[in-house]
Amino acid sequence: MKVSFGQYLPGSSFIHRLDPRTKLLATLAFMVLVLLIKSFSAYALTAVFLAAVFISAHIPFKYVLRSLRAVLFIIAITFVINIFFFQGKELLWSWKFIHIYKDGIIFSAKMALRVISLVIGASVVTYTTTSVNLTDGLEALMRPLKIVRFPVHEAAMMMGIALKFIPIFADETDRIIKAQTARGSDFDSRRLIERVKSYIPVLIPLFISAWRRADELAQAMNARCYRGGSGRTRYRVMKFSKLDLIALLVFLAYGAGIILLTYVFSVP
Amino acid sequence: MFGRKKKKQTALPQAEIENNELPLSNEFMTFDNVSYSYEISVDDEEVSEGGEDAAGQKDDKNDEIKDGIRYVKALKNVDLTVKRGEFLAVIGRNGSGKSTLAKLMNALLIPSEGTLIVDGIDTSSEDMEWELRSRVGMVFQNPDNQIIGATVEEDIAFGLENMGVPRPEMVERVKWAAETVGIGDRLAKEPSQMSGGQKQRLAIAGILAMRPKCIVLDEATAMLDPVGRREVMKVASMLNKEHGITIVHITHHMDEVAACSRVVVIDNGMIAMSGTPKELFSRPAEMRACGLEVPAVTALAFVLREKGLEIPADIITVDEALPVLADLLRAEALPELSDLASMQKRESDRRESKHPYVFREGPNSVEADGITYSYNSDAKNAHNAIENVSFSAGDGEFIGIIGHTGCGKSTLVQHLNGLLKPRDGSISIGGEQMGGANVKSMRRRVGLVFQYPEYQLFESTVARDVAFGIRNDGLSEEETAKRVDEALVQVGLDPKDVREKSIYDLSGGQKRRVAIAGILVMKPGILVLDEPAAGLDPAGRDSILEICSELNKKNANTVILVSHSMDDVARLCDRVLVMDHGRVSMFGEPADVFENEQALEDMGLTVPQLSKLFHRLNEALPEISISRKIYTVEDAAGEILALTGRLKAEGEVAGQ
Repeated sequence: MKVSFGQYLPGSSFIHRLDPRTKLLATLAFMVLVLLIKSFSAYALTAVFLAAVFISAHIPFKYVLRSLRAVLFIIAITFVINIFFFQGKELLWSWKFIHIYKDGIIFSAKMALRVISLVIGASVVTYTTTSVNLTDGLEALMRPLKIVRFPVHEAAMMMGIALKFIPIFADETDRIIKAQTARGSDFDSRRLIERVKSYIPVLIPLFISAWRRADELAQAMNARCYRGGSGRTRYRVMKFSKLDLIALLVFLAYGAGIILLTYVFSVP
Repeated sequence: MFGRKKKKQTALPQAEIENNELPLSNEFMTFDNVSYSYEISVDDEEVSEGGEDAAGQKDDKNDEIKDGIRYVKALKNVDLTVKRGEFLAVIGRNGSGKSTLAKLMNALLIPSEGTLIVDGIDTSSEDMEWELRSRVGMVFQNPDNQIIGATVEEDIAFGLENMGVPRPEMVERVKWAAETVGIGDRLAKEPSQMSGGQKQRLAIAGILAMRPKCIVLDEATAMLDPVGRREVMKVASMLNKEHGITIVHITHHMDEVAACSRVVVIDNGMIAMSGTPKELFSRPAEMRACGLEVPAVTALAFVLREKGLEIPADIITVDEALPVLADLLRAEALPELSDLASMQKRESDRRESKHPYVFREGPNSVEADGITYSYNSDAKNAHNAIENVSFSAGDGEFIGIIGHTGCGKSTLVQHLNGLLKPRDGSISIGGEQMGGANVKSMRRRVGLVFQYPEYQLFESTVARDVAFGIRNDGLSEEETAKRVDEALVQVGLDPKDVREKSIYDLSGGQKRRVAIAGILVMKPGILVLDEPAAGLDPAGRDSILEICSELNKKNANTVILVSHSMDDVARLCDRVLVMDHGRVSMFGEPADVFENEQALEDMGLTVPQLSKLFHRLNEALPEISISRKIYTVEDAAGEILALTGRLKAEGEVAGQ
């Protein structure tokens, strides 16, 4: 059994090769910018920007849709509610207690566009960054939290180990399910209670195994002199390169465009 | 868990290790009257007391209860010296204290009594433990549970990162270590894509990068197939010879022991024997008393000596045995017994004394016809795990399925009880084709014991766990208890003792038996076991295989045994199925399969030592007809004694 965790799409594009910190910071800034947007023209610019990013990262279009699928329901609901309950000036259509205003449609459309932009924008990082790099990036960006005694290194180490063990546990679950099936367990029962019960013989051995593995891993780490984050050097280093500078400039241009459209020229 | 974080860390002095300077003393480790006790808090006095009495396995002398804590002595008064540059094997049965001994060596455990000096450092001195661990590295049993890095290079670097080695030096050392163990071309690869042997070599590289003086292999080969084991042993002896690294190798595999310079046998927490492999193997009775075995040629030499033949006692390899036996036969083989006809008669006599294989269709016969399976249903990446596999097992037959890791044998056996559905081909049980609605009822007829089945136990007591498979059969409590007891007896456990025990109070070997009983309780006519002896010591392995053989003989069960060890299955099986890359490579009686010695070795499989010896003998002495169809000690001794005319004489004596 093979489980692909996260949504990483292997590749070596410009976006893939960026430093994870650049990508994480840019994503954060992008989200703030999207929340500032007030006009369709700025959304159009955002669409162009995102299209450029996806094309340069070689992410097929179907993945854009795939990341939207999860939030489609929320988008639809908020869209409908906004349309029905928005109070505006120009009444377009009304029936009994439902009134639809022109402003309502515009507002709802902008809301939907905002959520769509946020989701698509955030998916770029997960599509182009391995979980290891993502952990590294997060660790680096969270380093200031050390001042408030937050164990940044330990948290990152735990996340890294957890990510590494996911496929191993997926395999193990598969094997235990098969073994209990061979002993007459029935995992396809129609009744919910029966079905939940049938997983007890899977969960207990899995839990014990997790415990044993954790114990052995701790010992192996200990034997290789692991004693937490202090005094440790790092093999994997992150380096800002020229690519990151270019990415930064492109992103700044996009940001400036948004600000100009929204606050200076107020283009609708 | 990883305590002592605040301690100031200093980069460790490397120069002295690199320069290979003259050692100050010849002794690398000195155990002086070392004992170690595990502490177990006793919360339920009654249960544990009942357990102790019942098991008969736990030696009461090893236990001491004080203030609600039970101290279990794992090692008792051990005096041992490990010399610099030595390749030391530590052997002993499961639970004898080998692992405890290993963990003392790099201060993962601290002696309860006595002192242990390693490379001039007392392991109980707290501030030296990290220094010590960088000098004595350790490779553990399970490859997956000791790899930390996401890629090969990062994993090798892990220890260096912890030691605070500056990055430029780290990069150099990682590269060097990877190249030294032969994985230099895989630096950027993910460890999960590697074979077991490669993973263990990666673990060795991770330690090697730290420039240790000693590497402890704690059953590092136990979970590997023969190819993987050979890879690890090769690297270990290279490091020992070329880099002067002291190796302590803990193992159950006697063929690996033969390659070591000295052996220590641990039994019941004490050093039972020590010496060179030759010295130890020439004392087979004592070895067996410690739950160990000797190589087949050594056992043969011993039997022949007992029969009055003049053979040195310290033969441990085929190369040593060959000239001795060839000389013996040249001088003593009787011409009238050395012709082709009498050899063939001997062969057919032997064959008849076993139960010769005849295919019978019956309720317990299995037929697989051209089954193909792929884990990836995606047509583009379809890579078949097994392809066009056909074989049959007659009613009451004993079939061995052999192949290296990843050859598809586990995939194949999962088809036999319908856990996997073939993409092509079909499976019939007792002449009835499996598929659709009857899969569940068929599953009851084919009991499948998975690899490491003890990890699937989950109930609170042995009886409840064994009964799991028949809980929905509408049996009365008495009937259920009776079936459970029967199953426990079949696996060689005393129901009265173990029935109400917690599964966590059992030893590893007992757990495995209970897990097998959990399948037998369903009374399957066909029993499929996937590497039932993996990871057990020689005595435990033999007793599990004995259970399989009993079920086949007494219960008339059809048994299908999966293994990667030829020696294990050869003496039990009627026929052997050899798998390679998802296909059937050979299928036939053991002696015929072993004729393809080279092909088997190319597949990473080993031919039984005696089979190899008799092939060589046959080729070396064309003037004498020596049977090539020999792979057990019994048959080998029989053949040689018969050729020299001693068997006949003895038979006459016995007959009088």
